[in-house]
Amino acid sequence: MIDAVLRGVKAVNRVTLIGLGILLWGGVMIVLVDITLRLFGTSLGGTDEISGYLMAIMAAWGMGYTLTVLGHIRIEALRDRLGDNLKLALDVLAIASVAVVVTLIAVKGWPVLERSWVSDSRANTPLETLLWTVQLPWLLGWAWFALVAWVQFLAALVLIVQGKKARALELIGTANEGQPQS
Amino acid sequence: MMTYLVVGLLGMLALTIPVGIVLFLLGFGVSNFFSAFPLMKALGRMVWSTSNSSSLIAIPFFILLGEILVRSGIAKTTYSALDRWVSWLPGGLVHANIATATMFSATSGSSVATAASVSTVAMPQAKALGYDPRLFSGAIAAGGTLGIMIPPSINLIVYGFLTQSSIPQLFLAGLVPGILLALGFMVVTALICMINPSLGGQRRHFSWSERLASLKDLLPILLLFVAIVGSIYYGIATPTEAAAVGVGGAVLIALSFGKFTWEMVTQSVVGTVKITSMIMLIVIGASFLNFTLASAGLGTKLDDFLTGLGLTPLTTLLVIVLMYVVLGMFIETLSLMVVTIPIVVPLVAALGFDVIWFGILMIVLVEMALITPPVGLNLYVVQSARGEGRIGQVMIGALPYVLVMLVMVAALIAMPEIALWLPSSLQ
Repeated sequence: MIDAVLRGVKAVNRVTLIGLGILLWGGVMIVLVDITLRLFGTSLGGTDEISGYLMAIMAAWGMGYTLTVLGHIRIEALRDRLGDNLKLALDVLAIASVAVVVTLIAVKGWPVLERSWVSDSRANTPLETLLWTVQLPWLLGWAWFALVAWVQFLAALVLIVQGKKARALELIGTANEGQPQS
Repeated sequence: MMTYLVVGLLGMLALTIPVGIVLFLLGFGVSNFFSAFPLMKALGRMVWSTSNSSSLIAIPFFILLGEILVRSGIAKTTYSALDRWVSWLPGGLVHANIATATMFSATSGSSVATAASVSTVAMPQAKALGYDPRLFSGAIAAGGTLGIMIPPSINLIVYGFLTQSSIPQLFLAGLVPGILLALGFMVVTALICMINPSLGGQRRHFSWSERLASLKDLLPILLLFVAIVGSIYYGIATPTEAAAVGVGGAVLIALSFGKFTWEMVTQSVVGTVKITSMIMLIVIGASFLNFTLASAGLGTKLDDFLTGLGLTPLTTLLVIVLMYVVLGMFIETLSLMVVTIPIVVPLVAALGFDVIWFGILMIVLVEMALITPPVGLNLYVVQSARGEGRIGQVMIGALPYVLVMLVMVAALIAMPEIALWLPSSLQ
């Protein structure tokens, strides 16, 4: 059961990555086309605005994936000195805090989308973008992040109860004892 | 409130709660305990307005640029070209390590990417030519830190965003200190190897025709630097646009080396998404904390706090510097910057210091954090590329360069013009 759910999360993340790749390269292309057009005295218009939306959506959807590859930075100076049981206790606390906080963000994000939807708000820009069309994928990204966090939290608990501590550590521990980027 | 912030921050970080989440939790606490307004209502709107940012999209673009360059094979040709120019100095190839890292820093916004690129090409040489592994690997770890100082710099973009200061100005301010640091690293290397020649390898001599012939190998990376940084300096492009141009340039370089494959594209995207999301969770968290602190009246509380301390501005600044040196031993670079910006930058500004200048000072301090044990990311990056020996050797090898950074910190405090001269003269 756990394995099937975790495989499902992985599959969704794979599709997400393809989408994010298209958004990322699309963003680069749009900006490059705009710069080229500017050399000829014209412009696409609204590139800034589109980049902003791309950023919001990309970051939101990427966070769920990053959680599954243990990419969110945790300060491990203390954890490294502990035994496996205590490490696991900290890992459970960490993933639980992610789940709770991100759920709160997603819940508080709902009124933002709802207001745009109900009042058909448009951005105060030349593109006059219908805001809900970009806020919907943004909020879904945060909701997905929250869901992934809960799945990992619950899966880890089940694994711990089953005595599979090594697998739980693999799931919610730290990546290769941490090699984040900066 | 200051006690709550410091104890809460350090306590939750020690519990290994992810840094971004810690910032949100601190913000929730400030909102509940120290503010008269229901700030939580603004959470959704804050998260939307922070992430919907056309200036922050420069971050994934610069990361993508670095991801492509690392895989393009250009590090190898750059390294061998710079070898011809600088390895005659006492210390030999160690200088090529520093020079290559400096060149890469001028196109890459990340210290880890810079250290990773250089160590992959340089480390095999150390063994083959009989270099002392300590100094050789320490120089790569230290040289790599320049990635966040010499523009473009992801950390400076984040600093500019959170402190609402000009990113182009920050980029300009980082250039001179970055070059001075690189020169300082080379001087220290030469001195050490003059005193104890066994630490460096053979000094290498090349003819001028060999050197001139190698210039063509430096051309792509120089052009890329000019395209990125030049377009920002001359106001032709915003940092975001310059980053997109940089990605275009990196693709051309990868194509010319025959390395632009489908596999490379997918790996670059995966790497970019991961690092971007990791950074964005922290940045959005810090932004929310910033907002709650400002609404809870951090400004007046800081004034009281400072008056209560009764220290001169310089003494307070030195306390802050000391705090960064100590925290830097345990907290990873970007986190260290972002978690401290909401508290420290208003304080520094209230003391009358320039925010752009302080950004550069902070970068030197977090560069130091990258190579000071026990937690120094670049040390681990270089060690993993080495694949043998103990990490302690890299740590020892990096120590002389930590001293250079401390000298730079002192120089920046004594002569702020080192950072501020270039941006003010081009204004």
